[in-house]
Amino acid sequence: MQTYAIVIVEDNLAVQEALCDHLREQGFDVRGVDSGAALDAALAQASAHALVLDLNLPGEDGHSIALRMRARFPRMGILMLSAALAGAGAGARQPQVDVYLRKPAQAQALTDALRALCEAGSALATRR
Amino acid sequence: MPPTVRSERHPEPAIPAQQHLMDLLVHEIKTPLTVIALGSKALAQATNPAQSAVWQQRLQQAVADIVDILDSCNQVSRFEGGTLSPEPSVFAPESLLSPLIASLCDAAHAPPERIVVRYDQAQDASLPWTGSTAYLQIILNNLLGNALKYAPPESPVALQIGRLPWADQPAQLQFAVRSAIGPAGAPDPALVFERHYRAPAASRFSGTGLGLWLSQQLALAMGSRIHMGQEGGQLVFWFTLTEDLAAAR
Repeated sequence: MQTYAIVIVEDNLAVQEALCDHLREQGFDVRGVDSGAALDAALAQASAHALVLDLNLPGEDGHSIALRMRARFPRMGILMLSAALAGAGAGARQPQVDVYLRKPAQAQALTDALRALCEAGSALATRR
Repeated sequence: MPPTVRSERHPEPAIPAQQHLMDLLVHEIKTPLTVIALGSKALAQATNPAQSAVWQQRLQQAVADIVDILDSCNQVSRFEGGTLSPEPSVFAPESLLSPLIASLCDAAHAPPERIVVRYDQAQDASLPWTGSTAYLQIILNNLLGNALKYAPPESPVALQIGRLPWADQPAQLQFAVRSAIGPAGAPDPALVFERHYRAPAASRFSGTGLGLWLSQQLALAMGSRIHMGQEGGQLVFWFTLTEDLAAAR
């Protein structure tokens, strides 16, 4: 089975570490960063099949990062993990995000969504 | 601090303070709940003791974070609703501090000796004091809890207490909490007691930005004020309470 590379952008250390460990245990190659600037540096080192983005981040927010990433890496899957409340303006869905999951997402739902995103991106790359 | 970049959104309507508090509670509580959602499955699947121990500690910390968030929002709600009683009584500082420090260190997975209490005079620990137990407890809980959370791991947190006996005036108790500045950086002195303020990198840890604001409101209600400064590379919070002899009658 192919190992998919994931970058997690989450400023809360406890959540970032828990996500990294959980996804590693599920067989993903995972890196964790805490901001859009750190994500840029991580992707300059090595590409990724998919991103897990928090919405509320210090500096650049998750939607702004998603917009930039979609333009730079059209095949990279983008999953947004957000605690935003339904009906609050900050939680409005954006087309550059492939999948939204509400915090606290169930572990299996997160794994399944990421695997599907990575497989879809890989299939697209193979067809081209 | 770099400028904040926000994607385009609809303008946010003004919302009542109580609704804002409820939104904050619901939003903030989802962060530790995320750790619990991941950890409960990971713990069930863990195959080695070291892996289990890491997840167990994460789950315990997430529960402690939820308790902190709930307590903080509840205290603010009761304070603003006028039902947070000062519970005036006569007590010895030592009797208040011992259980408080044990509870804080337990929640932070720190040994109790990480908080070092120093009295200016040995007898200051046991001399009776008249004032608000509940308000003082909330203030010290916030100041010491923040120091444990934001100072570099395992660095000591010092609480210094001094009593100033005046011949013809009520006595005063001075408190100072000192800790090293951690990776979240030092708070902005102009904003640190503002409601919802959090230091630039404080979002690395769970929190509401309400604790220091509430502590300052409670200090003001007791006729005092909390100050923050830096001293020898350490962050220092200090305040002075005047004994309220009428309070416990």
